[in-house]
Amino acid sequence: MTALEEKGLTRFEEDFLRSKVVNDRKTADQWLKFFDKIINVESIVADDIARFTGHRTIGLGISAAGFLVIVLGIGLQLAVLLLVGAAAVLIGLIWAAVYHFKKSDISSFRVNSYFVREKILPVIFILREEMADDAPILLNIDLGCFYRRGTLLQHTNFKSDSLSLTDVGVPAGSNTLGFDDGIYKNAWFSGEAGFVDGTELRWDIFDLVKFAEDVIPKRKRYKIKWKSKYKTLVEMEISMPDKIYELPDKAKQKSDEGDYRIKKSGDHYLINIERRFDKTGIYKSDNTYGPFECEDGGKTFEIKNLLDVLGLAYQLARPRKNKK
Amino acid sequence: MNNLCQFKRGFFTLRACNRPASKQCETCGKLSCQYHLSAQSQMRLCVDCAQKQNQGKSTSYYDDDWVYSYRSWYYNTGYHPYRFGNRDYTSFENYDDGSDDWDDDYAGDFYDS
Repeated sequence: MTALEEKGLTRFEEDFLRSKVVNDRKTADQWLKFFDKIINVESIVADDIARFTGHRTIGLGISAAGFLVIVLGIGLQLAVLLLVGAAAVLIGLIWAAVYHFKKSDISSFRVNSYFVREKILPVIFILREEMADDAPILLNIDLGCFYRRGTLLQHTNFKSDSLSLTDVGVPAGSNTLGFDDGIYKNAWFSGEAGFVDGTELRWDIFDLVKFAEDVIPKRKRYKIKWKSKYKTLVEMEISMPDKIYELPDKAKQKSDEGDYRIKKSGDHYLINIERRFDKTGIYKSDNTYGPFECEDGGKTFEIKNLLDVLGLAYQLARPRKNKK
Repeated sequence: MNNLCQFKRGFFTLRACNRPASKQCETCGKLSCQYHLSAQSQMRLCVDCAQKQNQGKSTSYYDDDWVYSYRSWYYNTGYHPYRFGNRDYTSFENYDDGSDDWDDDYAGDFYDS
């Protein structure tokens, strides 16, 4: 039994660890308990990986010893040694293969606990403050790595006749170059929550990721460069009850604090706010190292980003003096 | 005796916590629920008193202590929470009430910063 199995993961927890994706409604306390367990899994998985690596090494060692016995058997012309050696090689290889498979399997349970602690937990802690104890929070989280699999928002490319952008390093004629750029939306954290004051919140925190692939002629060879830039965007729809808050029936404004639009809808005010944050992350690679294939989302997100956007809505509203 | 927590709960709006109190803070004597007792002080102090004692020290893990110290910090950046029935409003103006041309094509100016 592995240490992870002893931890007694539920099917729900196991699914999240394997897929890194979760879409569900739970109370804030249930989410905190869930993520607390998820965070602890990282060290358990690391222990199991170390143990399985050790077993795999033992299996390979037995196999190598068996091989030496076979060599000895050939030298001494002893059939028994040949048989023992062959059996040891076989057992050792099976042993190593089993633990190699186990190691690969358990490695898929790895989750970035730093990310969960820094980006997800603070949001739940703060939402809990505004909510009733039994009110659910809907969370849609995708912590899987991101590489050109989000929503493509914009795409531009150029390819010379003599250059293959798909085959890295393919020789081409002189003075040719190419590029392949795309802007993607990497949606990694959205959700819904209802507050005790009747306010309903829907948020979507995502990365705007620009990938650029450039092919540059260099001394009769070609240098391929990959670069990604990303920044955080927060989009929010906040519905505030008109019996508690007072806002203009219709308004909109663009500002550094966020672009917002207010619209009266039935007995609620709908406030849509969009804000992009200036902090930009950059990742670079070239054909010495190969293209990057996996990138974590949400690197530039900070808890204050979410609070500033939600705080703007509360600053725009004022409590109704004459209650309806 | 009223056995409810005497602390305020909330971030953007503040309201009475009103959860059942489980202990009294050893410093200020306020009745406190488990959420408003500081885990860092082994649940001896309320989060406010623990924060005063630990001023300058940061928590390494997000918990209830973190929420209330972060809340204090956030209020110091200029946010004024709405306390039910008591709030000062000073900046409710300057709305642009023009035509509805909300635009969301953020893709075009990615490199604007």
